[in-house]
Amino acid sequence: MEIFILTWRVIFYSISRNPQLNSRILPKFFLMLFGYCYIIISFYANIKAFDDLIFTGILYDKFINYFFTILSLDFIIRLLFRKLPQKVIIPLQLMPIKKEHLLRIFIFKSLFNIYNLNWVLVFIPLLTVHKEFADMILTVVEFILVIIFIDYLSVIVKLLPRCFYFVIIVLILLLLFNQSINNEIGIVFSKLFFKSKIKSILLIFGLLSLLIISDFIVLKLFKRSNYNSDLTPNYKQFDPFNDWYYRKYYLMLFHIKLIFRNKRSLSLLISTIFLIVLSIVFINQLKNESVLLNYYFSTCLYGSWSFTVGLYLFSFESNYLHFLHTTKLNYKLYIKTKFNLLNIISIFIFIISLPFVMSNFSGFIDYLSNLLVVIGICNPLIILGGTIFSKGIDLSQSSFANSQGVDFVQMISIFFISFLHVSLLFISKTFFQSPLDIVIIFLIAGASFLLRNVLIYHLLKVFESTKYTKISNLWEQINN
Amino acid sequence: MGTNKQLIIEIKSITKKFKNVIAIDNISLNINNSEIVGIVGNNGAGKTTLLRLILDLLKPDGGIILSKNKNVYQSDHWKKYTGAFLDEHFVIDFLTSSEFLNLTGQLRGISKEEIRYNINEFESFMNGEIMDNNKLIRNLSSGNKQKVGIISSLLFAAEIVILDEPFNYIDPSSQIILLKLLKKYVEDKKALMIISSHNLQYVTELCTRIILLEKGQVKYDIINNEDDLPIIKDYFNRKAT
Repeated sequence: MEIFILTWRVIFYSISRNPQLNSRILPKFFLMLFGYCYIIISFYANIKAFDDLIFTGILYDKFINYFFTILSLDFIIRLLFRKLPQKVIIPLQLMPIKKEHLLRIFIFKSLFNIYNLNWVLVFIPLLTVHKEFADMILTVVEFILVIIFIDYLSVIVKLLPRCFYFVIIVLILLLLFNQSINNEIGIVFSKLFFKSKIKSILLIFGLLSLLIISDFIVLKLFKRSNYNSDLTPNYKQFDPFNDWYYRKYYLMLFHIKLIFRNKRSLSLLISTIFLIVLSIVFINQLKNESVLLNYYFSTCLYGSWSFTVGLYLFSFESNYLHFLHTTKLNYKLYIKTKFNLLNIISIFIFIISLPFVMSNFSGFIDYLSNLLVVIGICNPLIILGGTIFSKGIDLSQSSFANSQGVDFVQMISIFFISFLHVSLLFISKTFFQSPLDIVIIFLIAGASFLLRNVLIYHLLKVFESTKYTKISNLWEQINN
Repeated sequence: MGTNKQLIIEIKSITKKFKNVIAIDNISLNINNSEIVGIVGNNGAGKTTLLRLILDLLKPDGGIILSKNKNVYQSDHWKKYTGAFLDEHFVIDFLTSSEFLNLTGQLRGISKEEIRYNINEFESFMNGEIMDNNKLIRNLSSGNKQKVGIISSLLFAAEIVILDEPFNYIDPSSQIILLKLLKKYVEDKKALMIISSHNLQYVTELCTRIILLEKGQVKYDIINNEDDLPIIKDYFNRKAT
């Protein structure tokens, strides 16, 4: 029972430090979760109402056809980013609890992360294609068990690096198999996987058996590694101090290290990848159907990094505020680096996603205008919000159920900022003929981008003027 | 210490309140170079608050602090020649020790060779546990984190060094090494050092001047000599009974 109380407290980090925060944190968290679910589910429900399941069916079909590819990518992401809860478990081993129970609870608890939550919230609305409720439930259970199995598999590979190559071979086979999904064998397998109730139940039992075996293996490996492994990971030092590009870009390197070496920022990075994949799927489906939605999702695509991480960029330094404010740091360069980081990532996503979203030259101009709006208008707005409203944040805590570092109003404002391009396009299309509407968008976004130094100047003023408030917020956070 | 005394820090009628609590109550002090000032006092006396005010991490409710005749709140000129380590928020814990010290040097415009040369002076203090181990600062022990912070404040030959409880967490041998290092640093660089500590033994051994704070006010401001030192010891003995 104590473990569950402790787990509850660990999950809701802020509440465990100050019970008075209950009244502020819990309603915000549940409101956010409700809002998220409402938006996703109502979106799909509306689509269903309009096109009689055609669109949802297409999406579902695509999802199933590329299921193994998606699982393979998911596995690779877990392998790269999933951490094992060793440091948390070791101090608790002094408690009169069986080690197996302790390990099992913490591995199970670690399943409840924002990455898996994204999976569930995205996949479940797709299930509206099933006519029978029982089919929906069975598919949900299958899907959840598959996700848990993939999670256990990633833990096994982390604990047993020698089986990594074997797993890679299996992954390649799965990918090749997925390419053949449209041939007879693929069709038969997809029917086996998702169509029959009895077969679903058999599949569920099969997955449960796999999970029990995986659980046994993980416990054995974990217990062995618990005693032998060095808890603190080694980091390959990346500090080309003598090279000219380090002298010029040391602050950019600093921000990149911040993103990759802290739990909070890393979990936000994973959310970004999710948003990217999701946006590409939607754009491909909506290409010839809805221009406005197409533009909306491409804004989400190029702004995915900004929307997930941009809000927190000025909260990230709350852990080292004292260093920042007692060192002769070039604040202008510091803020400019944050700004450039958002823009560089947006451009990078634009380049790598071009083969997936673009089919002709006019499409390129459209997507370029989306990118320009993100860089010229969305990113500056997000940076401005982040500077004004930044709050203390503990980078060692994960994102799940953790509202530290950002104001609730900021989070809601992201939805409005992401609709900005669609609004601008709607207004310009209403008042101007093509191609003048796109030219207007280009001019507005381009002008905003060119005036970024003016913005940075004002950000600097805000940054310096809010120094004492941020430091006292940090002390309040420490004392709480 | 050196004979060419120069007024570096002037604290003029500084006051700081937190809600209804007066943390610093109208303190005025003049601190010269080549001094090692020890700030002592019981918990809640205002030691750390005073150091934060000097470092412009807090806005005073009254008075000003001048560093080389310039107000610390109105310009950041003092950052060029001031090194400080008060708590773990003065280090960047997701960097390794080498990366953090390199960054500190880079921000001060110090070359890599100079940093390497300066770090060599602290070799016995580091005891082979800090550099080149590829561990992030947050994964170091408390003592090693403390060492990294102290070294970063001394690395670039700062003229003013401010340390809060520098002897905490570090082992006895390292404490003795640190004592010698700090003395040598002030002698060589003609620097000003302000240290707050609960460890009276080290404060009396290291500091040339001792300031005792009580409830935000300066109770005693004495030169560390045989005649005046018993005042400090008597004060704490009286408080203990």
